[in-house]
Amino acid sequence: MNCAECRDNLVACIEGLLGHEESLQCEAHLEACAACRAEYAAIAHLQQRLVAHGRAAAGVSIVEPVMRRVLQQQTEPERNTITSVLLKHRWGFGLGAVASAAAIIIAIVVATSVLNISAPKAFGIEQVIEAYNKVRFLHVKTFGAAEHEPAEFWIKSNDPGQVEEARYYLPETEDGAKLITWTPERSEIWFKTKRRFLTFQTKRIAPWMQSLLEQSQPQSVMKKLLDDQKAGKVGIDIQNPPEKQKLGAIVVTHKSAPKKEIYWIDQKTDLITRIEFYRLDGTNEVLSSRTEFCDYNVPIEEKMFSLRGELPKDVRIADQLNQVIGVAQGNMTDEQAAAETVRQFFQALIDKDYKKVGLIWCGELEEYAKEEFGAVNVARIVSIGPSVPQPDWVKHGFRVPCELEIIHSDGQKSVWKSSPYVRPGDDEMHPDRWNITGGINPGETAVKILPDNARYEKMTPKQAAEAFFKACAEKNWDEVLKFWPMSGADERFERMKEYLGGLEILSVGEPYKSGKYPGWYVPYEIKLPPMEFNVRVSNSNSAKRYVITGIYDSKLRLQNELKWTNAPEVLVNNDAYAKMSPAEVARAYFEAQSKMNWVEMQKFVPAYDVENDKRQLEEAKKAGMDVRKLAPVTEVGEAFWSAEQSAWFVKCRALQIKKWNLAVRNDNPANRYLFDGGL
Amino acid sequence: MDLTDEEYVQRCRDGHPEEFRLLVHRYQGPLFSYLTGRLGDRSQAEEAAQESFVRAFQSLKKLRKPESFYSWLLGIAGRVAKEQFRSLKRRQQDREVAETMMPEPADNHAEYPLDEAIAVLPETYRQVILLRFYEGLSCQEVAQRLEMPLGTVTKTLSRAYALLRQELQARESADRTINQTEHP
Repeated sequence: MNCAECRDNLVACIEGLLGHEESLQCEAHLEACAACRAEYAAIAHLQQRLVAHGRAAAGVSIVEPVMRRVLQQQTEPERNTITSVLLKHRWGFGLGAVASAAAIIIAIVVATSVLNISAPKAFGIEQVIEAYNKVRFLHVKTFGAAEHEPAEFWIKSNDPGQVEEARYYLPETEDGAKLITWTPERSEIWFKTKRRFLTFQTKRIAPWMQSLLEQSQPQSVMKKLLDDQKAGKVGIDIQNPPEKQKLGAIVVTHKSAPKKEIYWIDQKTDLITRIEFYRLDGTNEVLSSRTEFCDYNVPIEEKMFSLRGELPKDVRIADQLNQVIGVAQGNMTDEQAAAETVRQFFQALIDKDYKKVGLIWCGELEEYAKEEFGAVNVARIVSIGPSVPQPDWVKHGFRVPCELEIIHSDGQKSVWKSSPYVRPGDDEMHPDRWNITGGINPGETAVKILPDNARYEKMTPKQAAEAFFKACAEKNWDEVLKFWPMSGADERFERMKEYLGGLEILSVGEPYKSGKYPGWYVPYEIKLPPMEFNVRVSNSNSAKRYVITGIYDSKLRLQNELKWTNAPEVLVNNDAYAKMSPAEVARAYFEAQSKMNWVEMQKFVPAYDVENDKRQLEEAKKAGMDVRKLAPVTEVGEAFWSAEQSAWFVKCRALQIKKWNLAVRNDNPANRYLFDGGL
Repeated sequence: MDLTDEEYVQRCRDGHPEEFRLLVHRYQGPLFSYLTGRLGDRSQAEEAAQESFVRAFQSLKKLRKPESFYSWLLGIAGRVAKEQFRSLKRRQQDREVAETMMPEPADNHAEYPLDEAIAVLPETYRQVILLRFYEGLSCQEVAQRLEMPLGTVTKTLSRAYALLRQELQARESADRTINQTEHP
C-alpha cells in the first residue's frame, strides 16, 4: 500500500471497515510512514472531538416541544385567561355539574383558520383530500338538533390514519355527561354527572373509536364521497365564491334518501370547517346536525389523553386494570350468576366488607366504596330476584330486583327496594366474572317518606327547583336535604353549603325533557355567593412596576400562571404605574376588565391574556349573551406578602351569575322531585 | 431521500410549517451541543435550543440564504444564549446571590470553532457528519439512510474531515492572533 492508497483508506481503517488483508496492509504502511501516521493521528483526534461533541447532545429531543410552540403560534389557539380561569374555577366546584356557562363561552369560540397554507386557485374534492394528508391531530365538535351542548372529539392518529389516542366528551347520554379517553393500553371514563371514574382496558372501544375517527376524519369522509359520486349514489355541486375570504361549499345530495349535506371549505386552506346535515322534508330543508372542525394539526397535549390529573376530589375511582373484579360464574347459569352477584354484594354490605363491595361494584376502590355505601346500614336481605334479562342494553345484562331491610340513623327501619344492573365481561381479561354496573343508588336509602310527603309529591319540577333554590338562599339546610338527600356528614354537604348558601334567585324557567334522561331539566339563573381568590403580582421587571403573574385560589394554590414572554414594557407614564401598590394594580386591572378597557388591561397582564379575553367575550356577545352579566364582577381587598411563595398577593372576591339547568327526577320511593345534577 | 435545508426552508415558507420538524430533528443535536458548551448547563441549553428554533421559525422569511440555515441558526442561538445568560445573572442578583463566577458568553463564535466549522461545511458533508456523530449512526447505517454505497460514505467523511480541519486551522490561528493582540 502506498501513501495515496493509505490515505484513501484512513477513515475506513479508523472506522474498522477494512477487510483483514487491507487492514494489515494499512497498519504496515502506517508503521513505516511518519507523514501518514501524522495524518491518521489528526483524523483520529478530530473524530474524538466530534464524538465528544455528539455525546454532549445524546438523548436530547426537543422536536415535539419546538413544534408545539411553532404550530401553536401558527394558529394562536385559545389559552386560559384570567376570566376563563375564574369562570372555570367557579364552576369547577361542580357539584355534579352537567356543564357550565364557561363551557358555553368556550364552546362558541370556534377557531376556523388553521395552517398558513398559501391559497390555491380553486378547490375540488381532490384538493380537499390533499389538504388533509398531514392532519395528525383533529378537534371536532358535533351539534345535534335536540342537544344543548356539542359532543367534542380530540383525536390523534398515525400516518396511515389509524387512531392512536382519543378523547371525547359526550354531554348528554343516559349516564349524564361523560369524558372518555382511549389508548390501546388503557381506557378511562369520567362520568361527570355521576362523579365516577373508571379505568380499564378494552378492545371493544377500538373499532368504535376508529369508526368515530373515520366519521370525524374529513379525509375518509371525502374519499367516500368521491366513491359515492363515481357509483352514482350522490350528486355533488361545488361552489367556489370568487372572494377567497368567503367559504366555499360542496353540496352533496343523496339520490336514494331525502337528505343533503353541505361541506363548508375554507378556500385559503382547502380544509373543511363545517359540515351541515339536512333532512329534506318536501321542499323544506331541516338542519338535523352539524359538525365543526375547529383545529387541524394543533398538537394535542399528551395529558389530554389521560383524565387522572383532571379529576375533582369528589370523584369515586374504580379500577379494572389492576385488580380482578366481580364474582366468577363457575357452573351457574346467567340468571343464577346475576342473582348470586347481587347476593354477595349485599352480604358484603351487611358484613361491612367494603373491599368486596367495591370489587363487585364495578371495581370501585375500597376507600370510595366505603365512602359511598358506609352510611347504608343493611340489616338483612329480604328477597333477591328473579333476574330479568335486559337484552336491549347488553347481551348478558340483567336487572335483579331485590328488597333489603335497612336501619336509619334514628333507628327507624324500612325496606329498600333496589334493582341492581348486573353483567359479565366488563373486564375483558376475565370475561366470566360478573359485576354490578349500576342500578343501586345509596342516596335512596336516605330518601325518607316525609311526614308531609304528599305536599312535596304534588310539586311540579319547576316548583321543586324553586323550593330547592329558595332553601339554599335562606340557608335552610334541613329543607335543602329534602330535595338533595344525603347524609349531613357527607363531605359534599359542606361544600354545597359554601357554594350555594345565600345565593340569589334571578329566574327559574320552564322545565324540559332531553334525550333519554328520565327526569326533567329546569333552566335557572342564580347569583352565586362570592368566590375568594388571590392574584400574585410582581415588580421584578425592567419597567419596575407591579404586574399580575398568576391567579391562585383562596388557599394559595396556583390556578393559572400568566407568562410574560416579553417583559412588561416601560410605559410613557411609567412612573405613575410604578408608584401603584399591589392592591392598586389589581383594582386597576379588574376595573379595566369590567369596562372591557383592553388597552388598560394590557398594562397589567400579558397581551395574549387580553387578546383571548377579548376574543372570547366578543364571541359570547355575538352569540347573544349578555357578557357583562356573565363575566365575574371582582372586588379587590388587601395585599399581603407570602413568605412561602416569596411573592405579593392581593385578595379578591368574584361575584358571579350562573345560568344553567337543574336536573330533577322523581323515580324514587318517595315520588318527589329530587336534585340529580346541573349545579 | 431527505430534502436539503434549502428545500425544507422553502416548504415552510410555502405554508407547510410541519416541515420545520425535519430541520429541528436534523439540527437539534449539534445546536444543543453548541449551547451546552456556551451555557455550561444541559437544562439551560435545552431551553435555549428550543427558543432558538422557535425564533428561527418566526424569522424564516427573512433568511436570505436558505442553504445556510444552520449557520444562521447558530447566530440566533448565540444571541439567545447571551440573553439567557444575562437574565440568569439578573435573577441571581435579584436574589442577592454572590456575584456569579460564570463568564459571559462571547459575541462571536470564536470560542466554538468546531460548531462554526460544521456550520459552514457544504451540506453534503455536513449531513454525513451530523448523522454519524449527532445521531450516532454507524457508517453502514449512514449509507442505508442516505441510500449511498458504504465507500461513498467513508469518502465523504474523509473529505468532510479535511474541510473541517482546514476550517478549524484557519479559525484557531485567527483566534490566536486576536488573543495575542488583546492580551500582550
